[in-house]
Amino acid sequence: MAALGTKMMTGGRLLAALGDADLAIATTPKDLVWQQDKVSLFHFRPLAEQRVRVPVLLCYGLIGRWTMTDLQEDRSLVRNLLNLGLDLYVVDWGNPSRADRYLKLEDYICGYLDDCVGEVARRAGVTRVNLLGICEGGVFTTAYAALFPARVNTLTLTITPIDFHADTVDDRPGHGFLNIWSRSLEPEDIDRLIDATGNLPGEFLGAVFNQMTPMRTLLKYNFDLLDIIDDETRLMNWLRMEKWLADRPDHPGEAAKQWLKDLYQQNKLVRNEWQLDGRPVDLGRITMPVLNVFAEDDHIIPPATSRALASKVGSSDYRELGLPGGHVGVFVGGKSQKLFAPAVAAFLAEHDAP
Amino acid sequence: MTDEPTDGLKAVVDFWSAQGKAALDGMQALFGGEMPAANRATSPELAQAGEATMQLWSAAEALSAELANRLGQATGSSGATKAMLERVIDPSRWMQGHTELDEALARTINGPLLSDFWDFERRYSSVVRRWTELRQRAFEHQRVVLDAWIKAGRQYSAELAGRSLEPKQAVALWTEIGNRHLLEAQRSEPFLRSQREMIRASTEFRLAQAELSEAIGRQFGWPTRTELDDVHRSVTEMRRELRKVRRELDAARQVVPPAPPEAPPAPRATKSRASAARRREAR
Repeated sequence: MAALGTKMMTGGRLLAALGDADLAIATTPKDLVWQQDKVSLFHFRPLAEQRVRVPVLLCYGLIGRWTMTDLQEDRSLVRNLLNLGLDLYVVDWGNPSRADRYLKLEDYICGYLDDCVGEVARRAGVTRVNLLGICEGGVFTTAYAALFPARVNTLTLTITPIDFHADTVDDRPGHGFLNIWSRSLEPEDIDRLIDATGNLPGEFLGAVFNQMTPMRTLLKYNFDLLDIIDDETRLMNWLRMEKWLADRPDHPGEAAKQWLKDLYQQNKLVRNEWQLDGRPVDLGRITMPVLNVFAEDDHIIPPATSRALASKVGSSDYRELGLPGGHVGVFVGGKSQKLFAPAVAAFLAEHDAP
Repeated sequence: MTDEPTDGLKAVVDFWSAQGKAALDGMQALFGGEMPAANRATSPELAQAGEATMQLWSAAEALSAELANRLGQATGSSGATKAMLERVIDPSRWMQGHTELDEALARTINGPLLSDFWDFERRYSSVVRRWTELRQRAFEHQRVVLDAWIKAGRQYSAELAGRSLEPKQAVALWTEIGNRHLLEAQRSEPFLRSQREMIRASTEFRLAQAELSEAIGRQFGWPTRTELDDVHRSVTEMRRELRKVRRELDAARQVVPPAPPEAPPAPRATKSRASAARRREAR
C-alpha cells in the first residue's frame, strides 16, 4: 500500500506539472505551402542534406490523422525520413464537418490529392513524385497511382488494405474485426446510419476500434496507467499516444459509404471493379516501383489484406517489407524506428530520378 | 334560419375541448407530476372562447332573422327571390369567405390548425417508441456480452483454484482469459446480430428525432437540417464543377502552343550614302 501511495504521489506531481506544450505532437518544423477548402499541404524543413531528388508526399487517410507519424522526437517516421535526406511533404485533410458530408472519395483522390501532387511537382521542378500512403491513405495513393501513373515515380504503401475480404486467410482471433463487422451490416444499414448522422462520426469509429482490444480498453485507464504513472518517460509516451487517439475527425458521409460499401463489403478494389469519377481503378496500371510495408501483427489491417496487391499490380518491381509490431506499432515501436525509414529511403534512392 | 350552425359549432367546440383535455391529461399521466399551469389553462379558455363565439353567433342569427323580415316587406319578394335574399343575409355565408382567409393567414404565418393537433403528438410518440426499441436492443446486446463475461469468469475461477499468484499475474491471467472470450463473442452470430439491431434502432431513433425537430422548425420558420444539407450538396457540386473547369482551362493552356513573338518589321529601304555611292559606281 505504501508503494502504491508513493506511486500515486509521484504520478500526481508529474501530471500537475504538465502543460499543453509538453504534450505537443507533430512538432517537426514544417511550412504551409498550399491550401484548398479544409485541405492543407505542408512542406517539412530539411534536417539533413538532401540525398533523394524526387520529393515524397505523405498521404494519410480520413480516419485519424497523419500526426501519428511524428508523435515525438524519438518516435517519428517523419524525422527519420528527413534525417535520411528525403524532401518530405504531408497532406492534412482538416476537420470535415456536416458541410462536407457530400464529399466523395474521388473528390479527395482525383481532386485534392491530385492538386497536392501537382503543387509538390511544381515546387520541386519534377514531373513525378514519390507517394507514401498509410492505411486509408494508402488506398488513396493506390487508386491515384492506377488512375494517374504518369505522375507517380514510386509508390510506397504502409498497412494498406487491398483485399478487404482477405481477413479470412489467417483468421486470427481478434484480427479483422472491422472486416467482419462491416460485412455483418446490410448496405442499407450503412446508408441509414450515414443519412442520420451526415458523416461517419469519429467517435463512432473510435468505439469500433476500441472493441478490437476489449480487455486492453478496459484496463488502459486504471491498471495500465497505474503501472506507468511514476515513470515520466513512459507516462509522456502514453499521454502523447492518447492525444493522437483522441483526435478523431469525422469521415465525410458519402466517402464513408464508398469506403464501407464499395470496399469493405463489396471488395471492389482487388477485383478491379472500383470506379472513381466514372473511371475504373485498374491495379494493373500501377507500373511504377512499389514497396508494400505491412505490420506482422496488425489486427486492424491483417497482413494478407495488404499482401494481396502482389498478384494484382502491373509493376515488375514490386517488393514487400514485413515489420514487427501492430497497426500503430510499426510507426511508433522501438524496433520499427531502425527498420522502416531506412528501407523506404533506400527504396526511393534506388529509383531516384537523375 | 335554423339553429343548426349554433348547435354544430357548440358540438365542435365541445368535442375539441374534451379531446384536448384528454390528451393533456394523458401526457400528464405518462410523465407524472403536475402539468404546467399554462397547459392546464388551455381547455377552459378554449371553452370560454367557444361560448363567447356562440353568443355572438346567436346575436347574428337574430339580426339575420330581423333583416329577412324587413327585406321581405321592403321588396315584396317571394319564392326564389326571397330565398336568394335570405342567403345573402345568412351569417353562415358571411363566415365562409372569412374562414378561408383565416385559414390562408394561418398557413402563411405557420400557425397550427386544429387538424394539425395530433401531428406533433404522432411524431413525438414515434420518438418515444424508437427510444424504447433502442433500449430493448441495447439490453439484448448487453445480454450477449454479459454471457461472454460470465463464461470468462467461470474459466478464470476454475484456473485460479489451488493456485497462488502475485497480483500482477492474477490480472494478466484475467486479461488473457477475458480477452479470449470477448474476442470469440465478437465474431459470433448473436453478437453481430444484436449489435446490428442496436445500430439500426439507434439510427431510427435519431431519424425520428430529426423528423420531429424538422416539423417544429417548419412551424417556427427555422432553417431545417434538410434545407442546410441541400445547400451543402449544392456547394459541393459547385466546387466539383469549378475544379473541372479549372483543369480544363489548365489543359487547354498546355495544348495550345504559345503564340510566336511578333516578327520584327521588315527593314525599310534607306537611302544611305554608302548605297547611293554603290549605285553611282554601277552606272
